[in-house]
Amino acid sequence: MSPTADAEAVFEGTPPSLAGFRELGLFILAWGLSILPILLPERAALSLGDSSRLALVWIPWVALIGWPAPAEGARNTRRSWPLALGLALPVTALAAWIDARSGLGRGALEATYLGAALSAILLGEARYQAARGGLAIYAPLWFVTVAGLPALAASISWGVRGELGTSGLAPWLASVAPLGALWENVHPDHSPWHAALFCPSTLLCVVICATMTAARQARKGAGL
Amino acid sequence: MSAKRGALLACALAALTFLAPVAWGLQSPVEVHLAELEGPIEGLCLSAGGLETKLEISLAAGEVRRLRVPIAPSPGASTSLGAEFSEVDPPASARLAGRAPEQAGDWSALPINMQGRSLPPVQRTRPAPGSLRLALLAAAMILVLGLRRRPWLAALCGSAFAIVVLLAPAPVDASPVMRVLEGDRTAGRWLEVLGSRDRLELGRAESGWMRTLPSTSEAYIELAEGEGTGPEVMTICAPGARVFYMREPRVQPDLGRQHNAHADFQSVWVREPGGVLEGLGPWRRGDPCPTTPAPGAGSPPGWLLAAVPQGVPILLGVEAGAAEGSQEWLRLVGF
Repeated sequence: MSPTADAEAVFEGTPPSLAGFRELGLFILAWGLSILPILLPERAALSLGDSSRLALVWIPWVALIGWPAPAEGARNTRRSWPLALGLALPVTALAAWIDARSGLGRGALEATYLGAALSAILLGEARYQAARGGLAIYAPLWFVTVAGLPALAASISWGVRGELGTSGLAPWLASVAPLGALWENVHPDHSPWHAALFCPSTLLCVVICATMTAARQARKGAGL
Repeated sequence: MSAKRGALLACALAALTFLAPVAWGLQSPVEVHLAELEGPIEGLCLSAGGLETKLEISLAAGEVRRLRVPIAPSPGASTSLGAEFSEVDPPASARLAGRAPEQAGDWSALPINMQGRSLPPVQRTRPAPGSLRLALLAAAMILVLGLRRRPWLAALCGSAFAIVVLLAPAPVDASPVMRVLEGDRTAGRWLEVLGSRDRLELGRAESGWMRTLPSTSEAYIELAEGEGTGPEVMTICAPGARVFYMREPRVQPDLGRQHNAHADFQSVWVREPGGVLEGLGPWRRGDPCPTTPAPGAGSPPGWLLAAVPQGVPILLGVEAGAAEGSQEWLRLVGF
């Protein structure tokens, strides 16, 4: 077995680190936030109208699964996104069931589910690779991809309101980020499904490839 | 997993992402589902969303065929529907018949105030998760957390629970049919608006416009002949969604201040051009419209007053004798 391979095999049997507890806490937080739209009392749920519960439920997972982890070296870093996925799948399945029973078409649900699950997996893998390689660049990259682009889109949207009419830039910026695309999917009647699925996943693929390449170079430099 | 294998995984996911829009990303079409189409039929033309689908089929007497025809809906607008059966031999045995699709006309040709009127409040189906599914969810969480040292097994366990959550049985309740007769005296146009949830049985195959909420729901139409010599039945199905169908009534309601040749009303309200709304109580067929406010008449439901034009007299009414659970309303602008 190469020194860098199968970190989870090395991890098994070792006591859980503080980082392990931290990420477990993160996932439990995501689980709690994701179940909120499902457990809302009827009167409060009315305010959500026909919003897609599936998209709402995926938002905390996509937002938190790639949260930058402290670098603990290749040996002590574990791939945690399968655990997060194991927690997310039953909740999101329940939201999908509610949406299907509320009349949302299968195509729309599949697009949301697949796009969100892909985004979550890619972000989780990027986080793992960055933590293994001790990549400091991952944190700002994650911030721009996940939170920065929708925030920028919202700022532009507010900035031009009433002055220049609807800016085409703001919706585009929002749709290329996974959270922005999910937010568009919350309103199924106005969502361009193909764009919502295609753009953020492509962006994340670029991010993860860049992260992994940089992580490999970093490990080579460290002699791992 | 090495970085090389990780890169391969990323590339595979990227490839899937590129393929996905083709498979899942497009808006679902309205699917016309012809159930138990029985001959003799020599041709069929279906119209939906501005597109016409002509089917060259020939069914001998007694021959039955089942067809599913996907048709793209009009985005953000009512989809016009129509079914027309071509000449059959002998013509008398054509039990499935509909008006020509073009007779449904263009939705935008209707008066603007009729296009924008509020739809009847069909009950939404926003099902509660139920104790069974919540228990499954809690069990899944405990089990997955217990398997946190084996993340791949935890993911597998989560997937299994997700499938069970999706497939666990749940009761389905029926939704009553809401019917609203929408009138515009100035334009001389009437619309019969029917609304229900899950499925809307129309009773006769006739041209009109359909709308589903949410609009991304997967809808299809069942067009079937009745038993024996009974009438044909056209049913719009959209599981879980609210379904609305708008068509011009065969007979226009004959209503005026001095006469009512339409129906018995349980209660009517008149809003004069000045904006004062008065409840006038019951209005029986054949009688002139009551002129004095009835004590305790109450107010009409809010949705009935929404989006009606100002400055013109308006008649609102709820008909008497509707079927159990159903409601029949009337909204006439220019009374």
